[in-house]
Amino acid sequence: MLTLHALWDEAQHQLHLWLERPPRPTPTFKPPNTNSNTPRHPGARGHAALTRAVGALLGSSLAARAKPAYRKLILPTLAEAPLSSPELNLPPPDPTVEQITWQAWKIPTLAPVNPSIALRRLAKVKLPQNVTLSASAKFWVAASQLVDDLIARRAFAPYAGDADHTLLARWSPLFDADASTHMRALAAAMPGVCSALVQYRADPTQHHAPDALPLLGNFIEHILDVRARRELRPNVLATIPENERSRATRWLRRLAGRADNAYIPLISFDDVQFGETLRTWLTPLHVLPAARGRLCVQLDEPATDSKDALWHLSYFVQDVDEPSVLIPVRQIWHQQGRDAVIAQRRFIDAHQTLLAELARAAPLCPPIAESLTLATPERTPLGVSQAHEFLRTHASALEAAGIGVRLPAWWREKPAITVEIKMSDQEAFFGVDTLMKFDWQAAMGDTLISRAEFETLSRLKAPLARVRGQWVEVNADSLQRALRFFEKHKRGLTMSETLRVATNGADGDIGLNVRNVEAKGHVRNMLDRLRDARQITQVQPSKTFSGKLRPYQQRGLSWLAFLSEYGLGACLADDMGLGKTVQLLALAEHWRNHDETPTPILLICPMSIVGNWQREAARFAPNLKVLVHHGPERLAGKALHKAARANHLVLTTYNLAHRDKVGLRKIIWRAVVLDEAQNVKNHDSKQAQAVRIFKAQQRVALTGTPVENRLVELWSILDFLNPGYLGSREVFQNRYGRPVERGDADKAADLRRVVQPFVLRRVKTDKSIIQDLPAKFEHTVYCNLTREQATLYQAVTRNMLEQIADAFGLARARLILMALTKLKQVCNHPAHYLADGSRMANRSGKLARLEAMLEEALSAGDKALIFSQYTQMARPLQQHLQQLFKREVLFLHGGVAQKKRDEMVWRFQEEPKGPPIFVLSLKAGGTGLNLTAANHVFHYDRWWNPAVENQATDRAYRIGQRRDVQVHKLVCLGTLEERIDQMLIKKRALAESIVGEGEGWLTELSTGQLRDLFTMGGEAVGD
Amino acid sequence: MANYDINGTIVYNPDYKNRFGVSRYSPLAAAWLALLEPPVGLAERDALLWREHLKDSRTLARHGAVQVLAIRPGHLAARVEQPISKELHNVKIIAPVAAPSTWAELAAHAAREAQLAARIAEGKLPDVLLPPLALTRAAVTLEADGSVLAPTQAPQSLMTTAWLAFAERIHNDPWLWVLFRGQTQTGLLDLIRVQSRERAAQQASAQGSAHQFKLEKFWAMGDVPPVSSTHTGPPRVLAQLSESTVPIRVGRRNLAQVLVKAMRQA
Repeated sequence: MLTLHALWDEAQHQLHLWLERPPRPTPTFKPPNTNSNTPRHPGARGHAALTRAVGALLGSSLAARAKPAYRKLILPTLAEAPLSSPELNLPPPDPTVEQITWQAWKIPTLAPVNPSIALRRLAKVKLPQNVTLSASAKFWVAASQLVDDLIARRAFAPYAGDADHTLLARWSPLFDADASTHMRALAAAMPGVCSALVQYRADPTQHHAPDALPLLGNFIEHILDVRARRELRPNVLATIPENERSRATRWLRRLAGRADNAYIPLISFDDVQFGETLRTWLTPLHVLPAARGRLCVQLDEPATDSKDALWHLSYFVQDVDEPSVLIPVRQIWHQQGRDAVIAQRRFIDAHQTLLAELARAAPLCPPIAESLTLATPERTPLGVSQAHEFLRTHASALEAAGIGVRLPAWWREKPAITVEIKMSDQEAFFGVDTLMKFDWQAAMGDTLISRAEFETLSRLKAPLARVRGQWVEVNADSLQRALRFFEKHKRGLTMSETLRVATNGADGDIGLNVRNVEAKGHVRNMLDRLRDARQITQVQPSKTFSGKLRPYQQRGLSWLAFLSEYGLGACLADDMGLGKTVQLLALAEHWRNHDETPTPILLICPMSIVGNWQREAARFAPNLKVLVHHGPERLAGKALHKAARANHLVLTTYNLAHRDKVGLRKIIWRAVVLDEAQNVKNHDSKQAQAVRIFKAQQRVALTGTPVENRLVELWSILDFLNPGYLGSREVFQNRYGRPVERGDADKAADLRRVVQPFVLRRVKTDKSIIQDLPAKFEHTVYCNLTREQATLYQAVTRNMLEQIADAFGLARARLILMALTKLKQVCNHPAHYLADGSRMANRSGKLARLEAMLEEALSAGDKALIFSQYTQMARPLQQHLQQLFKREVLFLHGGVAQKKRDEMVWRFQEEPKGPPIFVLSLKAGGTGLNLTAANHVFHYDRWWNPAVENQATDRAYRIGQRRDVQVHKLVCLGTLEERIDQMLIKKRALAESIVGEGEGWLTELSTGQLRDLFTMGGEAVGD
Repeated sequence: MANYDINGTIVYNPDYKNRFGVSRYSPLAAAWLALLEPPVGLAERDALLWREHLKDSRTLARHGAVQVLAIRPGHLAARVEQPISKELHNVKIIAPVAAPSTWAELAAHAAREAQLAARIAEGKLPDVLLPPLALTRAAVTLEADGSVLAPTQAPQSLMTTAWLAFAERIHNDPWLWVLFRGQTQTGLLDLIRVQSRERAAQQASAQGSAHQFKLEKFWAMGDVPPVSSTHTGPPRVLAQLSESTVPIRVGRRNLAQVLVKAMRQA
């Protein structure tokens, strides 16, 4: 077996071929030249055999004209003999690093006169069976093919050189992006033996090869010049007029001539000037683009799997404009001039840039700082913990500082360890406590990992581990938590736990992400429909239901019916006015018609809307027997039990739910329904505790505002619906409540996913839900204070600030709240503050504005609602307006009996020439009423929570409203009302979680802040 | 203005601008004065007197007494106004620039640890580089209005004022001291680069065989992608040559046309 090798001698621009055979069994050879200290390679064939072989392969004339020569190569040497190249297929010696030395060996070579032709023939040669081409020969063939591509694409141009006294006539390559990329790839692939010529090394006993790129560049420059001359020669000569002997024609002839005759001496002044002209013209074709370099650090994985193996942070200079161009810093440390010409680019001030970049990076990454104690650091070793810290912390800091960072691809993709849960099929299950068997399987990315591997990983101390050849970040604590979870639940998961797992809400319990919950049959059906409500079978309203459901209401009914099928609690959280009542009544009718033995529904709501439920039930579900459990005559004990069983719907209030809980808990209800479920937002309240003890097949919550102030309110409602689903209150607060309230968007998304199966919320502004609701226009109406009001306001402010200056603790808080109430009273009306029953007319700027606006509204035939939080203001207001407009004005407050309340609502809504103005206390009239006859809503004084105001507004702005609704919020200019209004506007998005419902937060303000808040501005007084 | 960071580097710190010498006993002022007093013979003077002197000179320097201050390698020239008579005096402080060998040594020192070189590249001046650049009174020539002070003579207040103005300037930009001693930041970095290159070669040599020994890489060729060009359309160079003109003719044609024709025909 013979192997043909090729070498490129960049100094001579020569291609050298040599032939290797297996070395003779005994080293009987001697160096032919005894004067030389370099031994002859024992496997290298002599010139005669080499010439014969080259002649047979590439042509006898090429071989005959080739020049015999010797070249010295530095080769790996073992036991005083050079290692044979692998192409000879000899048994590998398998040496250790220590056994190998690097020695120079003398080798007979043959240098073809025209290397370009030799390489083209090598590319096409048909080798006999006993001859192989070495990697070095194949490499130079590949390089010559790149030259062919450059020639074919005309990616070359004439070059005139830059020497002072000589003009050059040669062709030079122009590297565009494609060629540069290919050349870099080629240089990276160059076998070490290509650069093994002795003259490349300062110290021939050491093997540190010169850079492949310059050697390859030298080859391409020369071969391209030779080939371009050969190809263009006839054309160039044809362009030269026969008798012309100018400097230009001389240069052109040299350009078409032999490559070794390319230099023209510049002797005369005219010669020099011609040279300058030519260079000035040609130089722009060859100018290398200036590149802006920056430091780029690359994290390299360890080469071996050993647990002590080191990671490395390697340094590069990166082209800012073409980040794929990375120059190892070694080339910068070795550079000659200020600028570095590398990869066909000129990096300006490369050395200084690199140093300054390292200085910038050092404070951001301690391992880089440590490496700077070396003179010319190229990389720095990292332990596995350091590598992890780099990935976790330093990399992003460096990137943020504009330093390039290259991380292993797996880190960007983060193949986290996850678990898959496989649920066993279950024939029947009901309620959140049903226990279901399961199995689990861990995976890393898409690769499954065995229990044994999982347990091994859970015991690892290192934060990074290689599993089946793939690096992964390991959090042993999480893995151990997962093992504990599965051990604890080896008997099975409850339905509630399964749902949490399926919605990824259990990551806090399991410690790992659950990639999938695989289930079959019933369980799968249920999970699929829970995760995607669109898969829920549509339920048609019963024929006995006399209303017509809108499409979204029918979807709501279907959703409620689906959850009830599995005994799962549901929170219907549609916007006010979207018809939660009608959906619940449709559900009640559905149950009444489909249940084998219908049982009653217990519906708990605020007193103010009991009548509304009665009316709506009579209207939409006339067959539904309704019992109102209210008033001193209400039933108790067995009588209650009997009466309840004789009815389909039992209405009661939150107060009575608590007071009569003993009697009510003895009844098994079809469902316990909480209307205005925000009433149980405080988990510790007596009402919230009472409703939890009632026994029912299903629990339903109706609310337009599942979260008024804090997320824990949602937890309280969900915990009523599906106890334990969101974990304990503390767990919920830690996992979701606090992070979401701090603005953690990921946790908010997690929470949405977890609660989504049990909360259905549609909003009025969603045009896909409702198309026929008219518009709502909100206006802030600014009013001035009268002189009397202003004087009172200033007096109250001054007095308050004096008092709180010396107060602290609860006393201070009490003073602030008192002052606040007084200021709001002053803004409303002096009579409100003074509480002296004095006259109303012409004393309040706000009242004057209200009068004017009401007059306009009434003249247009409109009706209006006026909300105030103060009964003491609302009552005189009602009387004053009644006198002023000579029309009846209704007034609803907490003291109005249910019957009277229902009558008022009916008169306002239905009476043809009924009262056009309805004054309501915010608390008593803010929820549950249907007052769509009004198309103006006035908020006479401001409440601190926009949700409460919106609820009140929604008395008029709901389904059934046919006209646009105008909402007027009256605010006194330059007073605390205006400042609080501004705060509410700014914080609208977060108002529900930041601004408390009450006024307690104000008491925590400093005296200075209070002064800013309360002090009257100059614009307050109008007259 | 100069300040010392924890690594002993004199760096520019805007917070201290124009506060040089506010307290002679601060570490910062002390460091500068230790460098700057000896060349003008102030180090030997009575500390108490010097404090007053410094105060007066600083006041003068701050109130425009130094009307011109020119700094170039080895040469400081100032025009200083006499506080009472308001006469203008020319002051020169001349020192030999540091020898090339000194700069070479400094560069070698800085090149020994990349962190020193890196600080210099960042524009900071590591204080370890200052002692070799220090001057003695004997090496400095002090000249006022053409008359040279003998090496034993105490400096005049005019010189102190000029020197203090200079001190304040280098307090704001430490590289002025390097300039006075005959070098620039860029020049020093050039010297460091040469040293770095040598060190890189030594390092590569030392790591050599152990670092790069990979037998399979020595004999084998890596993967080479096939030659594939994404560029289509006429060669760019022909367009460039066609669009250009050169005042060189070949027969009746321009050289550019000749070359385009030759390259295109083939």
